Amino acid sequence: MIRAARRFLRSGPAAVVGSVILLVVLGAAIGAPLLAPNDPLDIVSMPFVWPGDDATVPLGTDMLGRDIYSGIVHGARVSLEIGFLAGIVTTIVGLIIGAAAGYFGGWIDQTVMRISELFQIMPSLLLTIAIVAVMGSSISNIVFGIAVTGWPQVARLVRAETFRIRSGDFVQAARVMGFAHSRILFRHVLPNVLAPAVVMVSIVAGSAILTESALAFLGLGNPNLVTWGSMIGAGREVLRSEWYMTAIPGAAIFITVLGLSLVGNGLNGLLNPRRNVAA
Amino acid sequence: MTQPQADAGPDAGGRTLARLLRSFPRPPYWLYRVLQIVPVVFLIITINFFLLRLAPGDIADVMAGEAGAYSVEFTEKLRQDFGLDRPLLTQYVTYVGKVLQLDLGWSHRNAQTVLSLVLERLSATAVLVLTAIFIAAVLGSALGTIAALTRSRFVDSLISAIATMGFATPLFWLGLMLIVVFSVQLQWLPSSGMYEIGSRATGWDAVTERIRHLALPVACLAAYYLAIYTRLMRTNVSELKHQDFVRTARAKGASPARTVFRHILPNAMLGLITLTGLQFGALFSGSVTIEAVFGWPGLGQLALSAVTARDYNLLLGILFISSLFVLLVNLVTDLSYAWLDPRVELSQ
Repeated sequence: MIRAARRFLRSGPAAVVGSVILLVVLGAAIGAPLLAPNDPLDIVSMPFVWPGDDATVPLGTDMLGRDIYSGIVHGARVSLEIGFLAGIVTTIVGLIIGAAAGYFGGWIDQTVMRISELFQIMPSLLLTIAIVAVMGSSISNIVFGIAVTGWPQVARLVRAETFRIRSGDFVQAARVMGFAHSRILFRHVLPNVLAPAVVMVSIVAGSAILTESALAFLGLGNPNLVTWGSMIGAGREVLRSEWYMTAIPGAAIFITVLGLSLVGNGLNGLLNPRRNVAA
Repeated sequence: MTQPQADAGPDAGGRTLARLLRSFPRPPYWLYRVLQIVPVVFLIITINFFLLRLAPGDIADVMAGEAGAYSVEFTEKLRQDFGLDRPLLTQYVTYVGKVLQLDLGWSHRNAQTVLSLVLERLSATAVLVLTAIFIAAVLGSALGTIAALTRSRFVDSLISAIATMGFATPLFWLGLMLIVVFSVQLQWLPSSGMYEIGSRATGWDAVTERIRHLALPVACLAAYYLAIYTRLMRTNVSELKHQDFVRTARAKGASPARTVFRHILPNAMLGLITLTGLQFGALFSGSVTIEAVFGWPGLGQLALSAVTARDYNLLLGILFISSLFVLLVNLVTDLSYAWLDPRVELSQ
């Protein structure tokens, strides 16, 4: 474990930078009430204070005098929560479906592949928008909407991996010993395709954070939550003069997603040393 | 490894049938490929159908409330329109039948059929998306080829750095920042719409006006795909560079330029065609936020107005038509791939 961690850190500065970014964002999300005692919805100062003009509001205030720094710190909670939930749910669904398709092959595989092609064709953001618009914009519905469009990506990868190990000696041996399909699938196949799936969690989490911010920016998020996307949406109204209100939350999204993909690349190099980084 | 076949040995009738089928000429690839889209269209319709049923409560209640006329008769009328009083299977069959006749319903909010509304806006989105992918493909191929041929470490790391950052940037935010720089600070380009309000420009002026309005949204959308194309082209060219036919071309005395343009590039471009098809759905997604940022009057904007008005008929109609559009683009790219590279047909 320690040796693996050391190898991960030595795999290049990118992975280290990524981990540091993620730790900082995670710290902000967990310690939000301590780090930013102001409620992000409270009016704490004059409106339109530029960043750096007033030490009590280091990142300035918006058009209502709400603290932008508070919004960024508290927004990290929502982004990370949705990112990780969506990443884990999507990966688990994709992992099970992909492994089943690869293991059983035949018509099961054919059906799964056709369905996953379908999700590549339907514009995913439109589908997510439709799901959230119809079902309501709670966090669980947003995660559902992201998972529905995201699982095929994971399933394809896992299916290809499963194909590779399906004819391996240990799977054959398990079959000869008369184990049930479910047992072979969960005890022998899944553990061996777990590594690429773990990498997918960080990639899916990154794109989930982007999707959530797009939804919030378009006004489809939860109106009672301050998120990075909704802050950009609000800042847009005064883009021509107070552009910092848009620039700051966008930079937060960019840095977080960048951190996730750097860590993903690092993990990929660690867990799948033989393969190149998937784009 | 031999596995026991589930259907152990076809019976005599099956064998005759198989022989009969074999006596016909093999159907051409394009027919096979066209027929493949039939089940996909059905699946899209099915997903649309069940999406409507995800709504909490009854869709008729929601729509009646939002249409602003909440009488019992109106709700009943809506229920009948949707066939909510009939069994689920009947509802489904009716829905599929209607959609297959391109009857996507009526938009109460806009007092217009959904189909005409969607078709009106499709061209604006198509212009945006097609221009973006064209620019990304051309520039990306050029950059990727240069990167592969120079084999420069610096260019390589630059490309992967840009690609990594591109994947992490929210497109709508990039658009807003481009507006701040190019429209507000430098005042070079307009920030919104397809043309000036009340514009009477004709001829050449109208064209430049369009291009000026297209510039920022297209740049934004193309930036993301530029990285993808550059990466793929770099891989393709650096693999092809060492192939035997390239060495032969050099050996028979073809100039380096001719080797690149006549022997390497045509082969390297093949991969781009498939990628274009695959990325098209994602491109449509990207255009939703881009349209919102730049006030571009396309399908994405229409979808957002449908969400605000809770016009689900319209929203699902947009989803259906844009999926169909992506499906057709995929069909065209696959067929052109098969036309350019006949080996594809044989492997089917």
